Amino acid sequence: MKAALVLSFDTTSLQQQVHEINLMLNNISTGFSSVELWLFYKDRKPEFFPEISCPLSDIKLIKVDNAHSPESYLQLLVHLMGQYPIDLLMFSSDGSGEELATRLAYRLNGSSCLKVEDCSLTSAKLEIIKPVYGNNLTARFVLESSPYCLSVAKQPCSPVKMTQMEFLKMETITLDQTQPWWVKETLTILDPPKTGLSDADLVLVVGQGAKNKETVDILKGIANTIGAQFGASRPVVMNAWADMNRLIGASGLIISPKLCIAAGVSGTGVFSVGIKSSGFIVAINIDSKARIFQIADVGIVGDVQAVLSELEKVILVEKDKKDSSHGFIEDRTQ
Amino acid sequence: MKIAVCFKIIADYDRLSGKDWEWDECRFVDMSFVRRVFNCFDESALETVLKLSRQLENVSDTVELTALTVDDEQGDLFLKHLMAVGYDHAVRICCNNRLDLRFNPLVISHLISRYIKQEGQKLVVLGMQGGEGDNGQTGFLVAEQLGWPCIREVIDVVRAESPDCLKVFSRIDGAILKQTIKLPMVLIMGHSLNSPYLRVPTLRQKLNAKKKQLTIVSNIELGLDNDALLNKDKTLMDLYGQKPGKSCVFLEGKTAQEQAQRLYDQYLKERLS
Repeated sequence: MKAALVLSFDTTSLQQQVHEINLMLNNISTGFSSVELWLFYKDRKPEFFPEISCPLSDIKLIKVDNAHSPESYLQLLVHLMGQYPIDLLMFSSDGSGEELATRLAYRLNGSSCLKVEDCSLTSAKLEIIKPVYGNNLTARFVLESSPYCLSVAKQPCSPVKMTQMEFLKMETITLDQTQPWWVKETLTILDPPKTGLSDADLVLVVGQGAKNKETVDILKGIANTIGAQFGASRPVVMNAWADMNRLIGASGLIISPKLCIAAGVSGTGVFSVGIKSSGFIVAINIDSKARIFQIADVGIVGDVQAVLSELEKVILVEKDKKDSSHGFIEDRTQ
Repeated sequence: MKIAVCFKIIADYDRLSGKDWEWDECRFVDMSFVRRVFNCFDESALETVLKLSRQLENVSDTVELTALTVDDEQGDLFLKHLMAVGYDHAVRICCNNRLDLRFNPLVISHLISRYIKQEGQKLVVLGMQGGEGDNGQTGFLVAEQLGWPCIREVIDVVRAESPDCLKVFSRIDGAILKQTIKLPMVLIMGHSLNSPYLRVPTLRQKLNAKKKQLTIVSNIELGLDNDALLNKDKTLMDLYGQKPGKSCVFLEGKTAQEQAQRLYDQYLKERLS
């Protein structure tokens, strides 16, 4: 079976996307006769490449004129598949990867699936595993028609390194592309810089149990004092109590801090997937039966604001103690 | 302008505890005892279009809104609700109940696109994912079958200067993209902060909606027989529940102060140092 990894060089999360694809390749790579990297670029031809966890047979560098137009990518992919047929195409976990996987499979009469966590070859058919029912269950499917187009599942932040690949067969592909006639005007508004939430060691995640914006603001302050990054569940973000770039869960960030404090979060499947890889989870919720306690190491049944305000005081007292003892030692050494 | 919003009613999974996730020999999970709600992304789509229609009514000729779902009779209550808040037509596409459409976005998109073509709609809006299958593919497939442009992760849509265009705001890699797009088009709603929830109808609106008729269309009427609704794309082999949860240690304490002190002393002191 021939496979190709389809990625875009200009995306801000290329290294993370390759990490997610590598996790998949680690399970299946022995079943491939060859693995190619199909890398789209816009202006400057790539000189460095993300570290792929299996040997590559070829890199195809594909120039795309309109990076915002999925149709441009699709036209190029359909053309390439005509010239260089591939059995399995793996796409990134982001919206772009999901759109291309679905639409390309449709155009080529293949099968597609998104958010794939694992795949394996069984009797020349591809079996995949993906979450269903709002991340409450997992399903195993057999995909019926090749080419198989998969977008991989999001994973906690662990970007791969970029490297030079000098001895590899590399091919640059430039093709005529028709511009999308339906787009009359385009303007790009850049997002604020990244928050540092995705690779933080300590995160305080707040859920709807906080009840209102005032409490959420107080909890943001506590996060700041104890040195934690602040995250939020979907209801908190949708109520505009926190910014969109703080969203944790299946449709937001997947995080894996060393310590995660989940406060006032009920623990739905779509939320829990966002924090379950954390090293240690503390859950605080007024409802002793809240599902968040099923993935927590330590739980406190109580009022979120009251417990966290007290925790803030304890941490500040301990910090003062530590600072004064450091000061004492420093004074003695002077 | 004719606008259709496709939505799905799902069980409120938040109401289920771990032990409720059981399935029968056909791998169906019994959700009959759980209340049903609008899928959150579809809810945004429905509200966004209501706001858009208000803007379009001021500048163009008639705007006709259709709410469309593929469901059984349980969807009717929600369709009535949508008629109460301002949808002109409420359409339910019904299929043979014994067919498993949970993991079959291809067939769902066939049903939708056939109806859209038949009714001469100009704009189709759907939520980006949801429901049992969490497929996240229906919108893309509707666009493919209609041969229309498709914008994903839409956060808002407003009228444009030209009557045959709309201004669409969507989220892309590290930015928000504002595009003026020529109709027809398919929009796939993501997280919309402008319209996260559907408005609530007044009592008068509810009473008026009761008198209105829902439109029920079968798959046969759309030219797709039961055989055409089978999943030929993928086969469900098995379902798996969540791995056993952690054995959470609950910290006792008479006051929040006691609980916080214990948490710090026993678990956080070393981890925060």
